[in-house]
Amino acid sequence: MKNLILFFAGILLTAIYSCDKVSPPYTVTNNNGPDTNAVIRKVLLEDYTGHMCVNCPTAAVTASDLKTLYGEKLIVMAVHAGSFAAPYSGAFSYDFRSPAGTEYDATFGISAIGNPNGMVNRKTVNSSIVIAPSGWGSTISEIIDLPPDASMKITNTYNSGLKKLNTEIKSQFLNSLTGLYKLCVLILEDSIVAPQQNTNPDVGAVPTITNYVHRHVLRGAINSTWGDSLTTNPTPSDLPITKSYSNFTINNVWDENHCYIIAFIYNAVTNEIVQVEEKKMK
Amino acid sequence: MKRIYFTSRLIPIFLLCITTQLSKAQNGILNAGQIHGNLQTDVQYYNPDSTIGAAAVPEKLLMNGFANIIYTNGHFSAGLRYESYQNAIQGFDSRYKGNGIPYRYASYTTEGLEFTVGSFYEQFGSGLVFRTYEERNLGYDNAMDGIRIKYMPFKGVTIKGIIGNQRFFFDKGPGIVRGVDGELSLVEFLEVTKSTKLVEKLQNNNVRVILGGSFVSKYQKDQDPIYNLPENVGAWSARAALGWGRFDLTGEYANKINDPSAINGFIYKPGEALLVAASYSQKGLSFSLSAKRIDNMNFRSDRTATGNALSINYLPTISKQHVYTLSAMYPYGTQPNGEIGYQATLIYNMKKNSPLGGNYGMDLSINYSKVNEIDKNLLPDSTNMGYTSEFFKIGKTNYFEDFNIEVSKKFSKKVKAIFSYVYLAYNIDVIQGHPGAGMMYGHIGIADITYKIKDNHSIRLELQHLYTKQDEKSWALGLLEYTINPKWFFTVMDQYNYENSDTEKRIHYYTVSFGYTKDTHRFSISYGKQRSGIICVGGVCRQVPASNGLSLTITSSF
Repeated sequence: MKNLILFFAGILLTAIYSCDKVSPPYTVTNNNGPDTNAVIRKVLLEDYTGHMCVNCPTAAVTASDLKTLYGEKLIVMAVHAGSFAAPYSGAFSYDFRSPAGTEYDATFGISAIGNPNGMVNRKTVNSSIVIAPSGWGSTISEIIDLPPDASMKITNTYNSGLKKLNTEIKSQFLNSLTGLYKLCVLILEDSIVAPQQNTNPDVGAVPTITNYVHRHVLRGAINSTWGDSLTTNPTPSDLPITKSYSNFTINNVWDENHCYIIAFIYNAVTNEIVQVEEKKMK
Repeated sequence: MKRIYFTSRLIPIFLLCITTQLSKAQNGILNAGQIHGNLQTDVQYYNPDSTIGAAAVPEKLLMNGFANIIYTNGHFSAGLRYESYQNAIQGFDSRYKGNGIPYRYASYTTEGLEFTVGSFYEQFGSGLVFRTYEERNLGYDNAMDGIRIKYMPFKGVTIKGIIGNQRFFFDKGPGIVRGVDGELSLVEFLEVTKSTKLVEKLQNNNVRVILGGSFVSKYQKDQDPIYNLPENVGAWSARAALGWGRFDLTGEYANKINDPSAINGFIYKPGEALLVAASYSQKGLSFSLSAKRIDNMNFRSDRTATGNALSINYLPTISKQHVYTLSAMYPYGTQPNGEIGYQATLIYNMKKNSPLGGNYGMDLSINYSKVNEIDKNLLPDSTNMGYTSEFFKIGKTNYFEDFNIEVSKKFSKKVKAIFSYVYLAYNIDVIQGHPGAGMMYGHIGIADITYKIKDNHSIRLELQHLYTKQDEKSWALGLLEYTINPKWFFTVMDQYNYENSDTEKRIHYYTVSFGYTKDTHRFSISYGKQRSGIICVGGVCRQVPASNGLSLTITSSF
């Protein structure tokens, strides 16, 4: 009996003395800017959002803070999908949704769990591919400094008169990987100004931020929602693979000066992204 | 060749002997023990219905199901729960997907010691620092998976120790939870110490004293690139329950150190909670008063978790849980970041043959509760401390107010009725998270009349009306139920949002349903429209999307 009481007392003392009271400063500032001469792993953060989602502006601030922290190493894509993204009459009639975004949302079950939520490199963490905004930073920090599995280069040629885009993606694997890898090429539009519902007065007016700047909005897929097959069981000794996509039409509504092309390579079975690249369209 | 032949014949005989002996032993164990359990299957078929906002469901048919199987034999028990989501019914978290056995345990009790390995549910005190439980209506399950020890070294003294991870759908959360709880029942303990005179004095005066305390800590690795987060977060509580004759007084105070999380916006302010209740009861009369203050007491084993996942503690609600459809339309959900409230309840039984009691007596229940925000003086973002708050000061924003009166009366051998009036003030902005939606002020009247036609046959009529000028405005509801006890019931119901500002949303939500019960098996089928809304149980809520279709529920136990 004495041993058991000692056992409980031991647990209690261990627990009490193992508390961590944190003193200021509570935030960390570091410069994780990449060496631009070296090939680095880049990470894709997908922020699933909607203009009727009152907590989404706060999540967008989290994404922006992480972008500031990681610079070019982090690529952010806002996917407007689910019921919060549906257009409504009046101020919220704008339709940010895209077929690709809607399909991603349905496949990964994100808005079904509730927005804001997202994915980091579509990596499964604690058996869930869906990661809440408060978990984005820790998930990114786990993978962002790993050696890159591939290098990617995007070359865009854009004809403003015809509103036609040709894009070429050159990929070279740097590590030996197993399985089928696919290449997906998407187009984003940055800084669309339109109303957004909001519940956080630190971010903007409540309940509606009239001139909200919607960042990194997914507009569509250039080579289909799930992309094209790239290679199977790649190795570093493989030759670089170049994929070209021609005559993609830019929608008249989109601001061509704010459009970005992003391309990523992912495992066709696990969906995990091994490398991502971004380049301004023009 | 002979040797091989010999061996090949000997092995099966040997195995047969072993198997027979094992089988006998198993039969012995099984004969001495008992197996019991229960199961439930909910199946829903969905029709898309744009008029009520019910989106098309790709699978068309969804199913939630589970079965508990428990074996007990003397001091030993073991059990498991098999769960199946094909896929989860709408409104439940889509991470409940597929099949599995998320709950399994073995437990042994001897000489005041109970030892459990595997999954378990447990509660320390009122749950302010630790409570794991399951509420299937909410899709809520924060079961622990680890080790629990309960020990009663003396009569009146209970010590509990727990350690493990929490359930996260079909996986475990990333944090480790560990805790201890001690409780002393003073009168029982004094009996052990042979303080006979004192015990007699306390017992003669019907004095009850129970004291308790808990400490719970969680560990989660800090990998956040922006915040410097505490990896070990501790919370403690102290509680007392005092009773003297017909009076009872209970209270618990809890405190938690810095615990920045997704729910509190990553502030480092410590959290605290206070819960007190006083009651008086005598035959035919009871009166109770309770109050609570909660300040930044969300406590989860994953700081990034939201919704109903991975809660370590439970923050009780102190408002009445309404059971009728329209009075339950605006249920209160506990605000873990801060709320202060109180409740009073009077229950009075008017005796038979009294002026108001009539021939059969009458029950009266009056309840009032109010919850406001706590006082908050915001601090600059750069401090990461969120705000300061005066402990007993009530904040200006009203979250919830509920005054209700219910009268239950039997008029004759054939007729009985329940009449209710409810006044609700409900902050939709805060409770449902729809900024700009404002307050809803509603008056609800309910009549629930049962007429006994003949033995085992009765018919029940419910008439409900919600009058409000806010949100979706007024509703009316009518329900007629025919029951043939103990096996059958047939119900038709219509909810009509007759005053909605959008005339296209003035919709009849009709439902027809029937149920059949045989022994421990129950089948029920319903068809109709379900409006969107939220349901809350004990202050914990989940969204329910609009749906139109057929649902089947089967429950059974053995």
